[in-house]
Amino acid sequence: MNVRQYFLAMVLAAFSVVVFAHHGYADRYDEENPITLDAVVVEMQLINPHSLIVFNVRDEGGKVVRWSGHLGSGTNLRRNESWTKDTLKPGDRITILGAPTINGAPDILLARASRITRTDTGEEIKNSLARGIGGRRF
Amino acid sequence: MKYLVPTTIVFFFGCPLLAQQQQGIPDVPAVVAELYPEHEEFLRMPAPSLPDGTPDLSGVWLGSGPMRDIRLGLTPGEELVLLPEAQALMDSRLARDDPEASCLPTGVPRIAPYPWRIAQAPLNGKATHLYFLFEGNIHSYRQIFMDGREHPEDPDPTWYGHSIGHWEGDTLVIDTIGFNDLSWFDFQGHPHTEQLHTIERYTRTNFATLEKVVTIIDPGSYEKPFTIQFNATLRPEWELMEFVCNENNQDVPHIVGPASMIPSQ
Repeated sequence: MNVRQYFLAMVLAAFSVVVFAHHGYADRYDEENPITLDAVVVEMQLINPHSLIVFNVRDEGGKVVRWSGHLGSGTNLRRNESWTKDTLKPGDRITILGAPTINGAPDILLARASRITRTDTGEEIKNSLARGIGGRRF
Repeated sequence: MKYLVPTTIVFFFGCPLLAQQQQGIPDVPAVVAELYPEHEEFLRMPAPSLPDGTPDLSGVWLGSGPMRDIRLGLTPGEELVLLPEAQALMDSRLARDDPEASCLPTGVPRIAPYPWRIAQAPLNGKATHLYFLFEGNIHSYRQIFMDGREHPEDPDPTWYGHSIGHWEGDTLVIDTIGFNDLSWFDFQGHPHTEQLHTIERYTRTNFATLEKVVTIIDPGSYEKPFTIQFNATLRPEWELMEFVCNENNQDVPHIVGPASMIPSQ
């Protein structure tokens, strides 16, 4: 390989392991290529260490697919982002932006750079896009 | 190809430092949400006292450490020098094997980025027990005996050890022995043995700041004792919440890479 490729390979090698070890997100999610989903909430669980949203997405063929979304700790969502047990209720329509899985499984990372809005009103429920990769907490 | 060797050298020394910047996880409280509006004012107010004159350390605190890397807290002139076996152990550690990732205790003095409290018993009068109540990590407590007792001769090794505390002026001094060797000092994987002996000194320097200075003595892992300092910030607008780590812990199968993110110096 030429020098430029070698250079790049070493940059990637040095960074990739370092940054994301703590949660293991790098192993599962592609944070460089976020996706947007039109979702209907099935269930929300504000728990620890990772909260969970279960939701349905209609795929291109019209089939309903069950997805899950992973967030940060329930304590932090409640404390820092004012979520309550009623923030998302079954049947709520939301638009979600987050990091998809690397392997294509119906799961999305919402703990870091992500955004959730109510589809009908545009009301923002969560916006941590500013955090991105460099600014995320832990 | 004549640039290959110098490029390699630049990268292997430069990248970890850059990566440390990139990672951007300073120790708490910088990590967490903005401070509350009264915080500035509280820094100018003196620390409160209890009716018997001892300092009042009660309140919801956030931070202190270590969290990410114990070396970040080394006080000026202090050095952390690993013995060769301990260095080898640390180098071999994988991030997924951090007990913290499996909802096991972080021991002493490591802290999770969640609030904690100091509570005393009895409430009114000279304390016989102090409790550190932790929201995060595993929602557990440390028990500090304040009644003047000594350490047992041969304690059973535990994650938090056997702690005895007393006041030296306005500083709470907590002496702990009887640790097992299982907890890691930080995400990096700095190890310790059952010989670990910690001496923590807590001083509430103003209403909103709790200074924590810890001397780590472990001849099984470190050439000499070293002292670190990590401070905590008061969060009076918070209460502790329930955090049950085992409820939805999904991370371990996905955590890759070595624990030690920065090559040993």
